[in-house]
Amino acid sequence: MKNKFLGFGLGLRTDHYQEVIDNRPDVDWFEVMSENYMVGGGKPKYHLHAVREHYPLVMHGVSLSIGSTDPLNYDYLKALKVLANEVQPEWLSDHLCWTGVAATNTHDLLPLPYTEEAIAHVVSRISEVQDFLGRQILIENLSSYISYQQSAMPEWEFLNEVANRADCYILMDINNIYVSSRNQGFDSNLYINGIDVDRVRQFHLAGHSDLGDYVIDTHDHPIVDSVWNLYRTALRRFGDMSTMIERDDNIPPLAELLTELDMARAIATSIKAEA
Amino acid sequence: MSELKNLQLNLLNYLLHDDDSIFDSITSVSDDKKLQQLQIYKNAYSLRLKEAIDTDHSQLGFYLGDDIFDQVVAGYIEKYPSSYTSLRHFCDNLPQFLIDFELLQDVPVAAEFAAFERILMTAFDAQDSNFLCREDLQNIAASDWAAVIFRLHPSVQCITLQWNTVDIWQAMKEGVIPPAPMQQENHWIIWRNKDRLTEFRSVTHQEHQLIGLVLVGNDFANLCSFLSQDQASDDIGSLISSYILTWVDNQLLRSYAV
Repeated sequence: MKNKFLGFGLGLRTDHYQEVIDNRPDVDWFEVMSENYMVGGGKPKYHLHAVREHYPLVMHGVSLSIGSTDPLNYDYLKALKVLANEVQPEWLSDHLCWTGVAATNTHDLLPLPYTEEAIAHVVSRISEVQDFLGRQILIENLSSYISYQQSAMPEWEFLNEVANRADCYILMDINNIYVSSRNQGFDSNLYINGIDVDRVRQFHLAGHSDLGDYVIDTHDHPIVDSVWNLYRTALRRFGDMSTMIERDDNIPPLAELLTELDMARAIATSIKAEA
Repeated sequence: MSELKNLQLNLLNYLLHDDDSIFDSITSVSDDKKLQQLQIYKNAYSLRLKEAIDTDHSQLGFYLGDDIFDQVVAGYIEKYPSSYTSLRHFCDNLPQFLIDFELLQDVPVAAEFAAFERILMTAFDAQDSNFLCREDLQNIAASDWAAVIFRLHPSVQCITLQWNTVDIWQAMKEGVIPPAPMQQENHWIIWRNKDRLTEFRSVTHQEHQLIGLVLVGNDFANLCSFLSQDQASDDIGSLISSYILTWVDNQLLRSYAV
């Protein structure tokens, strides 16, 4: 899978459906939540296809639960494959996490311990998923609020090992690195500089809630300066990279997100000019 | 059991049951801090599920009021932890939960409220399909009519209620004072029209039964036979024509087979 630079994208949200379809704003591509469109039809599918007519899409999921010790959910994988055939996305992504176990789903993105056992487990499952889907996938780093005693390596080493051994790619969430670094007390620059350059295919940017002692990945605020600075660091290391802004709550008018997207474009242009 | 599985079960048991077996696996500078870190996940777990119930059943929440609805939410999350891949189905057991819920034994409307709201959701994103129009009916040869089997649009749902639940639901939706609960059997059909808008209307017992017969694949001759047994009428033809034309105009039918 070559590193295809899609430009600067937004998450497609119901609040903006009509404006996107009617006005075709200056967004290079959209990221859609896979699960929102795993339905028979109606408005969700109608809007998805209307947007797809004019924009490249990538599919981003939250239910793969690639790290769970429960069996892979083939009903979900079949639905994902059907949707991917329908949408023809540039790529598919999900999170390096587990969401449930013992047939119970927490609907949260829960962290894994960074161990050899977890690497072997996840690599085997990613390979199985990629074989079934007939394509390589991207896995995203999480925001986390705990770390495990069992962990034997830093998160970035774990991420590299999984991506390299499974031959999948990385969706690097810059905001998640910032959030976890504040919560876990590691150096976010060390993280970014520790990730293998040839494995990354996409960046996520987002806002968060800073509660002082903890930073929560809420996606309900504009991107803060510290995250923009990390984005600069990442661009210097990774070069042109498809970049997307996630906003999932407290959704502002589309114009506000377009302004934020222009900020990402301007930063990328200025970093490129440095080279 | 593998270390990974054990750790996942321990965290799950903390989220669901406050079991502290996970504590020893968490890195932290102090026990207080460890608890705070875990609490972020526990709060997120409850909030996410509560939000799913709020979103899917907003009118039920208004009808019951915050205090009772909060108890419903807490009780439901405890009794029915999600086994679904998607939150879309998390509340599928809510109608049954409300039937069983001690606090609402005197409020039978609540369970019907939830059942009605879930059916609206089913119609909203059911499979897409074509719609039959009046011109299509003209293409059916007279000799074929007896064997014609109509197919309903995939979004069509039927529900029978024992209370004036839909009247109350509509009043809540429009922000006006709802009528008092009144026990009366009533039948409804719910579907999605060509503009992808969800519609519903009440139907008579007879139309409800007739739609039920269409749903299970009865042909036109059987529909006529049912009507002739159901009521003494010299003009079953006019009656069945009226029903079918109404269904076509309502956009309830997707196709027919001969």
